Amino acid sequence: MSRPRVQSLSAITPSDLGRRHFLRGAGGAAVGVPLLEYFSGNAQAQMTPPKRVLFMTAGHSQEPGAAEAWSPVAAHNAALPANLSPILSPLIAHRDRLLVVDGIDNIASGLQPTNGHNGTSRTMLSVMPIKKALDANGNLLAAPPECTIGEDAAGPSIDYFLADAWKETMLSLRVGAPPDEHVRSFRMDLSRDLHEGNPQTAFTRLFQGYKGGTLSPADRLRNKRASILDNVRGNFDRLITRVGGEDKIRLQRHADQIRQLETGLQTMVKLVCDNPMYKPPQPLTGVNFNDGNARFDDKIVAGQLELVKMAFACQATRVAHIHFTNIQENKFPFLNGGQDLFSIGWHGVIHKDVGTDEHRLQTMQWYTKVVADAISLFAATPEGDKGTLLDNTLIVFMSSLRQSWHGTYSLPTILAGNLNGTLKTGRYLKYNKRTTGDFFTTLLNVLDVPATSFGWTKGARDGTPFFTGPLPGFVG
Amino acid sequence: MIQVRLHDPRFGALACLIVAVPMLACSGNISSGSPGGEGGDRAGGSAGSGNGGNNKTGGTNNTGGVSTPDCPTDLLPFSFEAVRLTDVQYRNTIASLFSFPIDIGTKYPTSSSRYAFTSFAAANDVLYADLQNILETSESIALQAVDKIAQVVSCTPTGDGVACARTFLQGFLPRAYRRPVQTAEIDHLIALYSAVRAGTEPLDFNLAIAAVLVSVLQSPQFLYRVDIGTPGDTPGLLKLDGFEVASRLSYLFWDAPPDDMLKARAGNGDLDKKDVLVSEAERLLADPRGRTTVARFFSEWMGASGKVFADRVAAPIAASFAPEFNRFVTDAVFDADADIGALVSAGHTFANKSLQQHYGLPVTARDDNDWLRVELPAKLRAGVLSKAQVAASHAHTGDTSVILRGNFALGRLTCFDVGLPPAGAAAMNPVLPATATARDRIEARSAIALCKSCHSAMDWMGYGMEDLDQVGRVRDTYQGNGTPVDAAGIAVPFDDAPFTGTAGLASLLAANAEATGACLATQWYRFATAHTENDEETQCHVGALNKAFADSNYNLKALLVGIARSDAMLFRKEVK
Repeated sequence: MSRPRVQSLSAITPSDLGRRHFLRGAGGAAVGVPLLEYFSGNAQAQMTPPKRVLFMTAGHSQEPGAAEAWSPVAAHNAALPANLSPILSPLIAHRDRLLVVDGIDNIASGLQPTNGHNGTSRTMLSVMPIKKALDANGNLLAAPPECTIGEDAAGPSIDYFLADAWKETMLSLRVGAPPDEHVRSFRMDLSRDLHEGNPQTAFTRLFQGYKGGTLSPADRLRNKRASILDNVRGNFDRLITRVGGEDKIRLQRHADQIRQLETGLQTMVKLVCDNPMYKPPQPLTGVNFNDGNARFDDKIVAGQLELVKMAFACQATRVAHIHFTNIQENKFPFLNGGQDLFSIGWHGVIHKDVGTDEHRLQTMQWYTKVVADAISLFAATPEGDKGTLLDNTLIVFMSSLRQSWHGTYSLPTILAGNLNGTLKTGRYLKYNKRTTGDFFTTLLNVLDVPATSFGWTKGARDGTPFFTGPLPGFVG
Repeated sequence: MIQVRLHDPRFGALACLIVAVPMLACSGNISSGSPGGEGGDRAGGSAGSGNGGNNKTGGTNNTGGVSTPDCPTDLLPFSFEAVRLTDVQYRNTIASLFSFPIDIGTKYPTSSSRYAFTSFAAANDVLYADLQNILETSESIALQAVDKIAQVVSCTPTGDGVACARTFLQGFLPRAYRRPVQTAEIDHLIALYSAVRAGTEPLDFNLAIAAVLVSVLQSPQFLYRVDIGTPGDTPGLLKLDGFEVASRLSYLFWDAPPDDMLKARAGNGDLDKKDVLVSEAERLLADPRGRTTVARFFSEWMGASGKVFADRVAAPIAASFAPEFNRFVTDAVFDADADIGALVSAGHTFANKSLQQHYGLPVTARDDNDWLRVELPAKLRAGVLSKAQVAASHAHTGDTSVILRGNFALGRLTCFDVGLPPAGAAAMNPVLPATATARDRIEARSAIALCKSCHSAMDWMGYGMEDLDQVGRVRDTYQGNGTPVDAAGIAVPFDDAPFTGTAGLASLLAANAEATGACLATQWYRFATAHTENDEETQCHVGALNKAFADSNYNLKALLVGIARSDAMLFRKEVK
């Protein structure tokens, strides 16, 4: 079945010249030397660094008591209040770097019957029903089958879609056991992604073949693309003067496109990571990376964040995703000196079968603290002339659930980083009856991937159109 | 030029003149290019005399070459447009540059199938998204080449290596550009060579040669076929040089650059002479590569190229459709020395075991590698028309389509171009009960004025081809309701001649060899010149080609070779 979701992705950005080219760009003088302590050699940045995105997604509700536990008390488009909200309080120090978003609904979950998790997770980032809910022509069946644990989405998730548009490797990581009910990411071929739990393994895989700063012949040749394309244009100019009519038009158009390609090259970043080595901030010896009880989640997430920082700084990729996959049995022992915080797993706690609102708040705050840690880490990583990695990175935190009854309305959403002034941060955005399709379409355009829509666009549910258009108010 | 009227006997009176409804893009004209040359008055004596069927050339210079065209300058095509090498041509051209195999990969852009022929300029337009793929393909080829540098560069670099790089380019660039090159063109690339060997991250000799190769392989002199020509005494007229003519011939017949013999003839001016052009065309056509190109021409003409119908029949059968077609047409041209009548109405085919079973023939082949010439039953005796690849190409997956087949038969076999449907045409298609017959649907469409003018021509043509199912098997009943097939069609281009079945249409086409031949000559002219002719070309060039075809009693090989006599191969009109 063809993918009905991509309405008009017009073109890939000019700067996506391959992936995993650790030395790349069009030449030019080095203008900055970030201090990446894990690199035995040097690291240099040139020109304007590219945009990166880190997705962080969870499958927990965020409603310990009143809705205000998550939502800041502020009007739409107003400045974020100094105290943010109880759940968001770990982010207070980064308030000016945030966009806190309310009112983004995942109504695609309702396109097929489901329990509280299978459908909510599979539709969250794909904004599509499951494959079996569609007929051969991509139309929704009159009576779609239930979304069970074996089902996959009928479209790729936003993380893979973005990585494909940018021609980057998706750095797909997890904190916890492999997902079962909570599969959120689907590749371009619509296969499900179970992510890598061990950051050391992910590092080896990502940097495989990279030999201590020694460029391959292919990379050395690629580094001369600007000179070569300039030479090619010279040959076009030479010929264009000798032809007329349609020939001139056709050749001139081709030459103009080469100039466009060259322009993209000139804005690329060149950043050298000599002999990159991975060192997690907390030792990972003895860690079970498949532990569903979350006994090691704090160590693992620190290790994964460090890896993402390194991958972004070296431009091994520009798209990463950290999935929090421990849901059902998670007892958060790392928040309680190694002892289980609850007698049963988180699933029962969030349904308010056991535990207190204080317990629930404590655990929800942990996720926002991880977002704060990511912000701090990127902000402490120099990049370019005077900037930091955070200047060129967007962090997107979302959870697949909001209400304790598995509700997917007003998904908890935080954006951090202003992409060099592209986003007007420090504000609270509160929408009404807008969807994940609207939100991801907005994101794609902010990230220089032209798209008129993303995901399912046909019809409405409970009075909310599946797709209205990009959300106003993001761009500063 | 034949003006066609639509006379629909099922609705009584003369329906309309299609030419009276230009807003439907349904021209109703057949580009006849008829023998003798329509528009001869305008063409004057030169055009009227034609050049087909004899060796008469236009004005001659003192070397015996042609200096002026037979057709007046204002009847010349503007040019062959600059055409990017098709993926087939690119592959063959790269192969000609190196003495060892090169893996092209899969990124080089393929030709669009939305145009009449893949050779058309528009079918090979470069989009922005293609640039990256062409760049990466060039880099890959260059790296493979310098991996075997000793087989690519014959000299040993010393010092800065410039002298050796220049020596390399003096040998390589004329082959890449398919013509002698100027010193300035080599200098331009030497400048790149020197630039990448200097500065930060300087490249070594081998990689600098690779960088030069990447530039050459993306440059228009390599990537496009462009004819420049040189002005002569006649204002506005450009005469192509021998190497431009050589490329036209070799890419036409081989999809590949000129070989040494052709280049030698280009170099000594022999390709000025039409008798030499014809003998070269005959030589190229006789080469095995000529068979491949001929098969592609006929396949694209039939709208049957590149399609595999594994969703309709078992894989071994589907895989046999295209080979059957190719064997049939190449046998007709090269082995049987057939005429157009045999092409469109022959009663035989070439079938392996799977195809014999598919067509319901006696199984005499040992297996699918055993291809035998077999006679066909009456309803399949329709030359190319009844080949499964063709019948399937103009049908839906689950059933036939009178519209698709009718449009194909009109447009491709009679050159009756009905154009594109008007906006909203699909929405106007009458909704009838599922039990409605094909005839009911045709009559309902014809009851709508906007649809009638084109569909009454298209639909009845396709209706007469309903005796073959969607995979080219004879059927006696319609799918679904089981009622007997009524394949009583009407051929509007032939004065509303009635016919029954695909074989009936084939007989009509064969009996009207003049019109059918004129259409085939037009199609070959389009394929060879990579564009759709304008009215001026129709008057002279297509007419001359068709005259030669007619004079040969519509011998297929004579048509293919005849293009070499065309002024369109030697001249172009200057366009500012």
